[in-house]
Amino acid sequence: MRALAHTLLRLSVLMMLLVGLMSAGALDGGSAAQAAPALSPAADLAATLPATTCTLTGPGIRTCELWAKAGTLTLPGGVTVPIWGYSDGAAAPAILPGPVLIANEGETVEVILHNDLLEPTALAFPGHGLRPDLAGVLPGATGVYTIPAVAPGTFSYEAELTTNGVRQVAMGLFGALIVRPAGQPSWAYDDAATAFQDEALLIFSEIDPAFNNNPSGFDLATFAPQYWLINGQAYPDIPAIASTAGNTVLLRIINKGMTHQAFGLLGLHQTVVGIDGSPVPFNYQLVADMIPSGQSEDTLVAIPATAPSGMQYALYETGHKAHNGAGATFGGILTFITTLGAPTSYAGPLAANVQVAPSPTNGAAGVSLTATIMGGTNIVAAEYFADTLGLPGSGVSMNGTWGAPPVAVDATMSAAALAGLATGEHIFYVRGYDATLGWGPVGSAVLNLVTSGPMITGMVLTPPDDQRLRRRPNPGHWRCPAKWDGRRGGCRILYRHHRRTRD
Amino acid sequence: MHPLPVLRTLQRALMLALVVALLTGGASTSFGQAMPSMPAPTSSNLVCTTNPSGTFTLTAKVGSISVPDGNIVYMWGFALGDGPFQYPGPVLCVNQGDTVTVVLHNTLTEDVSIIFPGQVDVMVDGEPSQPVLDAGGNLVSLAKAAAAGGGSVTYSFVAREPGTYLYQSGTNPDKQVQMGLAGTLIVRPTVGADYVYNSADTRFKPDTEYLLFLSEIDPTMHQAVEQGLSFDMRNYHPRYWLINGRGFPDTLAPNFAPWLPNQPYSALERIHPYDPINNPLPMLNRFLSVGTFNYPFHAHGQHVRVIARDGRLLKGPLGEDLSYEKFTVTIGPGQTMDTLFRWGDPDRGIGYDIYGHAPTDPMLPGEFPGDHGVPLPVTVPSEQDQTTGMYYSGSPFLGAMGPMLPGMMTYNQCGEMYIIAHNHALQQIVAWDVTMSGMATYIRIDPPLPNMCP
Repeated sequence: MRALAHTLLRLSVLMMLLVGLMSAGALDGGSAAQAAPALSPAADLAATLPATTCTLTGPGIRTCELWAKAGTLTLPGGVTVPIWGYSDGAAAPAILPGPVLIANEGETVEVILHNDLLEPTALAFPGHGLRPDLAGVLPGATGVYTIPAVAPGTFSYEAELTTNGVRQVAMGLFGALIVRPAGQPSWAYDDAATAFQDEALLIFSEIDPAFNNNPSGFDLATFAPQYWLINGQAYPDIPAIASTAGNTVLLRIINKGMTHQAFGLLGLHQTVVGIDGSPVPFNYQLVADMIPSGQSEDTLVAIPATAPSGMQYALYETGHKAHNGAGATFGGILTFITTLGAPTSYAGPLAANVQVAPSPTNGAAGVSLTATIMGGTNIVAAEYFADTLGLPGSGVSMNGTWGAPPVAVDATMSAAALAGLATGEHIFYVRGYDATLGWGPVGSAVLNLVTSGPMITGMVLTPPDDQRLRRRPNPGHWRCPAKWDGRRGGCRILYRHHRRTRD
Repeated sequence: MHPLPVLRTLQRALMLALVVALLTGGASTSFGQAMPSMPAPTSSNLVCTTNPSGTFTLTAKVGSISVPDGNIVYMWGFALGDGPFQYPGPVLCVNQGDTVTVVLHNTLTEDVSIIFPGQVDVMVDGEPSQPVLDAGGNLVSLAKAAAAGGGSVTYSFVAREPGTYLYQSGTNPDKQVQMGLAGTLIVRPTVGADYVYNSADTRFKPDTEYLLFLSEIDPTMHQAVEQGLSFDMRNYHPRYWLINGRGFPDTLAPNFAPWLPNQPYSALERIHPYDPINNPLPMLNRFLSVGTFNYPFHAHGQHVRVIARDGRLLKGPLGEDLSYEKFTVTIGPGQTMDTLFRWGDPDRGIGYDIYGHAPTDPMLPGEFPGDHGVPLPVTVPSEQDQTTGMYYSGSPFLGAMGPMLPGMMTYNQCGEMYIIAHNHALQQIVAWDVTMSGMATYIRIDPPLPNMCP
């Protein structure tokens, strides 16, 4: 509820900001609109973990109930694939990953498994030393697994080593088991240094739709994932991890895919405090973490108290698999750690739309450098540099109609001034100065200066050149054992078995 | 079936011979002799780009690189200012505490941005660098971008922590980083440029600092981008694996080799044996990876000592040394690693005198006393039963050269030894089935000074 209220507040503030930005005119830079970020789903990952789940059925005994059944999962783009997953009710649908089991240190966790599949299935709890259940629970039957005296950490549960167990895990039969330290629900382990204010559970997995559509017959050696998921979802469907400046976020990460997953955090550091449910003896910081298949990891992310409001720190897959299916645009394992509030607007003087004209030129008529200084309240100066950016205030002054932004500034370089520059590309940097805020960031433009040799303009090739399609005809005297290759002007090389011949 | 031609081994050997001829300035040699008159190679050390005000201009532009099977691959990359195309991007070297300004110019047909993994409080055009969404709320870039076709944007941050870091495009990174938009940022610690971190035990020998920027290329993807066609990412299948943008044996070519104009950085690591008096400091390797796999990088000869990951020294809160030795360093996508390496160990021998000394010869500093004068423990086969590699000096002893077998040639210059360092996922040291054309390089051990090495 709180998260929803915060999101609504954020959205309304951001809407006002968006309107303000649009009326101020387009900002410098990319073709993408500088839209205020709108976080889509109301829920967020950081608000989804309760203190415990399941039911205390006796002193120190926590009982959980899972139903293994068939279901479906909707992938980005609307594709639906069949899955097998766990649910927390006889009538509830299967979810991927399964319901999260949360217990306290020292409790005995009793898991009742109902098998609604058409084949035997069993449960495994890696890291807890239970005897493997190779026979499993028969379809329609119920089994009970008992884990005594659990220790704190992030663990997983998954379908066990019955005959089809591997395929069952790949179809989605897995979930998380979290054990909280006794009396300290906001620590990761029995160590005050692992305290957190927000936590998020991230279970990585993969989908190869061809496998999901044929789990029994598919040749697993050809498994090729096309979708990478966090908690069964891919960007843009993954909720953000909402936090606040000054908070520490605990990321509980489990990899239930078949391959390593690499992920990084942009703008913040992650500190590894636990691996596979064991605290590491010495914490270490990483930019990009690599989680092998089956492993779990606990990392802490400290958001500085001075972090601006409304920040989004990207948590993204660093192995270039942050896409969905065939596309190369953003998808897959990608979400954001966010701080409350609206992004602060930065009103400093920005040198936008820097242009140098004419370009290309031989400099005979000089060049004119223009820019627009946006932001700030009272622009009183602007400067430029040619090629070497110097300290603020040490450049060549520009002319402008000083006052409230946007202020157009300009400067000219005469032919004589250009004569001192070598032929080639030159970069001009422009900065604006606000009476209160001082110098702002630079904008720049490139001048193509051609002072020697003829200047070529308006070049057109007829017919248009497409090197790959240009074909040369066989002049007539080449006899090829296979085929004449017009693109390379010779006989086609047959890989390995034939030699290139010609007469 | 693939669209690119494949050179057969003979053609590749001829190309190597051409490389050698270029190295020797065309000096021909009769078989069986070394080439004493090779011009001094320009160094293979890490090449730093520095700027007194910490300001760098990077231009995203189109270019190409050459790969060992003779092909040219269309690339995108960051060039320095208005300089020539290069891959990987320039190594930007700054000092801890510097304010770094990176002005990005974009001449490509797509928006390009830069993200600086590992840096905090990065500003772009005066604002915190934040993800950019389009009007529909979809992420289009992890940072504000420079518009296609001539746009520019300015990033700045304070380099707070020393170490080895990546910079790369944050717009369509799955495509753009693969196309070549990535480079290295090095932050030097306040204690000095010959330390890796602010810790005395991270000191290294300054002229033995080497870059190993690991990456891969799917040539069909680059071809699709070149032709403006769409590419189905499910078909992504890398074929070339590179160190510093080069595949073996180009990894051995010096910095700024003229025949590799767009791939300026060498990966040949050149050191002298450890000697507690004259050569006590180790070599530093800075590893970075922008691949899609874990690369298990394996140096022969000795263990490497991993001292830092992702720009963080492996040390406990009370100064506990958490560095560790490995002979295979596995580096994951987006990670960096700093390792120290020294060859030769005065505390352990290898069972024979590496210099071929007689027992009465004087000891060299750093030589293991127990090995001194001990002969080679194997019987060298007769010549008819021998074959040698192309870097053999004619003698098994460091610093010694000998006659080569009839018909064998060598690139060896002064009796140095070569130890291979390579990706141990062995399918990644081949390209299109041509062996030894991928992610591999050599560590060259020169004989102790004074020596005859150029």
